[in-house]
Amino acid sequence: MLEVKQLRALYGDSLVLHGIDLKIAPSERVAVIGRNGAGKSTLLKSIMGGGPAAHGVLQWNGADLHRLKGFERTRLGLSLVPEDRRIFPHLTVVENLEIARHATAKGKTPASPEAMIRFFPMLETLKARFGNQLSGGQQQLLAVARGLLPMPKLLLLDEPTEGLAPIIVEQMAKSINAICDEHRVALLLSEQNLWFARQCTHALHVLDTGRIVFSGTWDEFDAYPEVRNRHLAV
Amino acid sequence: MLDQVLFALANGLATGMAVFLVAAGVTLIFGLLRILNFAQGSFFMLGAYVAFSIMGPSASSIWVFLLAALVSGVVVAVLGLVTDMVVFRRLRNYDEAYTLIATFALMMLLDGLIKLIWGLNYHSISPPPSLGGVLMFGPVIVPIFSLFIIGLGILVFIILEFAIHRLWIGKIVQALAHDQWMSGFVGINVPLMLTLTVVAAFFLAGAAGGLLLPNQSLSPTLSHAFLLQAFIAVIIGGLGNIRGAFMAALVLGLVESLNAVVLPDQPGVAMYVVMVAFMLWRPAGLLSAGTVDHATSQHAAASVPIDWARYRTMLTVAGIAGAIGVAAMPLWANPGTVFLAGVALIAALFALSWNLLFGTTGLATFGHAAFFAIGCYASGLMLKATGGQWFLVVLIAAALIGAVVAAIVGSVAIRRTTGIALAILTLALSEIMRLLISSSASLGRDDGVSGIPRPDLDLGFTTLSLQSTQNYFWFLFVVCGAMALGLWWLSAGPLGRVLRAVKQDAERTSFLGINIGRYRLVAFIISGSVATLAGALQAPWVQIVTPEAANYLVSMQPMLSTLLGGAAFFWGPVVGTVLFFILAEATRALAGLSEVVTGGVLLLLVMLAPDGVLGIIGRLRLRKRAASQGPKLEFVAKEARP
Repeated sequence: MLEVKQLRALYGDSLVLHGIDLKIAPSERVAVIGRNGAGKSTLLKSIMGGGPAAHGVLQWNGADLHRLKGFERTRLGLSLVPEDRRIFPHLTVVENLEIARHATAKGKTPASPEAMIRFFPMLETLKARFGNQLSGGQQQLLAVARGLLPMPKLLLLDEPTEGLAPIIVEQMAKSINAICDEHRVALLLSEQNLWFARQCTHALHVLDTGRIVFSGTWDEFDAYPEVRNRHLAV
Repeated sequence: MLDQVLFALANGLATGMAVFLVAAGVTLIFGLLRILNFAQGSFFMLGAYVAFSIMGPSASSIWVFLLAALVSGVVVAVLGLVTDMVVFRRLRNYDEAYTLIATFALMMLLDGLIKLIWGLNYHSISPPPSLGGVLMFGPVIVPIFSLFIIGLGILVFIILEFAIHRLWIGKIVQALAHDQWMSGFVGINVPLMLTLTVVAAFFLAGAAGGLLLPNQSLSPTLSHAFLLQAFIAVIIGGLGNIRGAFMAALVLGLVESLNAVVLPDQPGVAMYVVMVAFMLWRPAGLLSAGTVDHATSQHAAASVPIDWARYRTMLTVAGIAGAIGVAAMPLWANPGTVFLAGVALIAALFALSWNLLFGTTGLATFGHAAFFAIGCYASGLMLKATGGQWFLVVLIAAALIGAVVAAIVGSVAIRRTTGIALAILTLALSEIMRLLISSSASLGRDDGVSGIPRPDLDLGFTTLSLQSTQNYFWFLFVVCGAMALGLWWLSAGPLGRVLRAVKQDAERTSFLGINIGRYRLVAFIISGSVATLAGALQAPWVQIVTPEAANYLVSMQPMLSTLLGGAAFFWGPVVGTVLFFILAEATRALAGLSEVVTGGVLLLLVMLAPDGVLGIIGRLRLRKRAASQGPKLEFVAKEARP
């Protein structure tokens, strides 16, 4: 479905990604693990066309993504939840969900805001609140729910657990798994929280300073502890 | 008295609503694009002229009148679409000073075109039959057309409010105003929505032009009156805020009409005073909180790593040769050209003084003409009093007056505001000064001061007569040259280094223990003082001063020259001034043409080469060198482009 080959990404003059190869099949769930500054967010943003200048093969079901603007990519079935959440402060929780309807791919039916809130019960009591009246954790849940509302074919989720209480992290893993199972949503998750990533994905890529240094299943990852020690330990 | 006040009230409401109709478009465009559109008033005026061409000086019926306004709206909306595609899209990532100058250039271009098409004549237009006449409320007489405008303003306000806060499209527009990046990732067609909103704003301007046409005298100066007032409303109301603009426009209209009752001798001043007071109180506007230091935002032009040292000898030789050529002008050029060259010398010094603030310190002021006018009047009046004696004393006194004024204004303005707020605040202050001068009997009102004598220069041991154009020109050359070299020395020295640091990153510079407020103030005082001196040199050269010396168009001159030449280069303003004068002189023959050419050239420059003529030369050099070094550099350059 998504095919990335020799992807290089630059911010200004500095090369952040040095040739990434990556494939994601329908309903496949993959994590990208790496330290701060490894290039995880840059990878997700490059796939969406949201900032860095990206070069290399970037294809969606055989079609070239480079030529499409961000909003056009969302309408192919890609959806990005950025790490800084970006909840619209002037919209209520329900409106923040509803606005994501515009990102629905052809042939897909978006979920209703109510249906999304059923997956994220913590939002239930907050429906009428405005975006700027939510705590950081609530905003993060809302951002994930907003990203899933159009029922994307691939969800790009950027460090959703950063700064969240463990109970919310658990809850979020359950919600994400439930939706992805039910609606066959593929997932590309950028994370530092290994526990959470393991809950949500089958396989992982380890990213270090802009290169993929390990790819495999979680079992394979556990079989090679040196990957962890060398590329993830601080 | 009461009926007078009530009459003023009705008038004020009508004025306020008219201002709101223009301000709404300005604030809408700013809210979405962060572009403060100077050209909005000109698009409004274009709407008025289109409507005038359709319905003539008096519309035969209200339907013709409304139809004309609708057509004007559509015509201006189409032009707005073109403007958005050609100009605004390129400006989206630019520093705000450059967007201001670009839209100002657009304004010149449009005003010039209007002059070329419709001429300079005044037309008076009467309302359509069913909107003419007056209503009597007891002793108060209210023109029906005023009521029409009040109703129209309220209607437009309600429609906009409803659309923005109640309709889904309004929520989308708000989402765009907050966060364009994320709006795209929730699937909103960002470019399309931006364009639609901009087109709507232009439609509003065009239709307003048609609808407000009656009871105005239509001439190519119509845009200016509305533009400044609309800007004030937008600034006071908080940029990007329709509700704020509405309230501010109402207040301004009322202030303006009460001004006419209470201070009939000082028309228009109260409005600016209210604005200045307001900006100092809440620099961010009525309905917004918090301020951001905008002065340090990124520069539009990528810094071009030019090795100027390699060309230093060549450039110095060229500069000296040029200077000798200019100095010798009285020997080879005709008197008319020499006169113009003298004006250009003064303009170049004036531009250099402005660029000390902009290019070196990162502060864009839009009211520098105020200093120039102070200099003109100070030296003009003093020379008339002394009969042309004590010229050096006069010049020094003028420069000191300028420094004192700059210290007073700057210690309030520079410390309170930066960025757009500073630009508009200084603009308002200079407008206040112009209005005060033109209503002051002792300064000759609109006629100004004429018959200023050319002075004698008493050097103690000998006296030089500057009566002749030739002698005065040489004197100008020496003084302007010395001042320019002085500024260059300052800018290259320790002071200049600190100022450049303040420009690049004010916050970080302050962490180094540098009092950035004080350094900005010092730059402002030096700049104001030199600008005043330039004015003081001009008065005896042209031998007349009028309040037009403080016109905001005069404030624009140094900006245009600076950008034309290249703001990042110390001598950029001088190069720009020379080109500007040549350009203006070559196109002088036809009213409007010079504005079209100047505005057009400037617009192209800001969009395509924000680093000016000197920047273009530098880049050409760089390319030549890159070519000789093989393809490696070329590859890197390509990679860096998004």
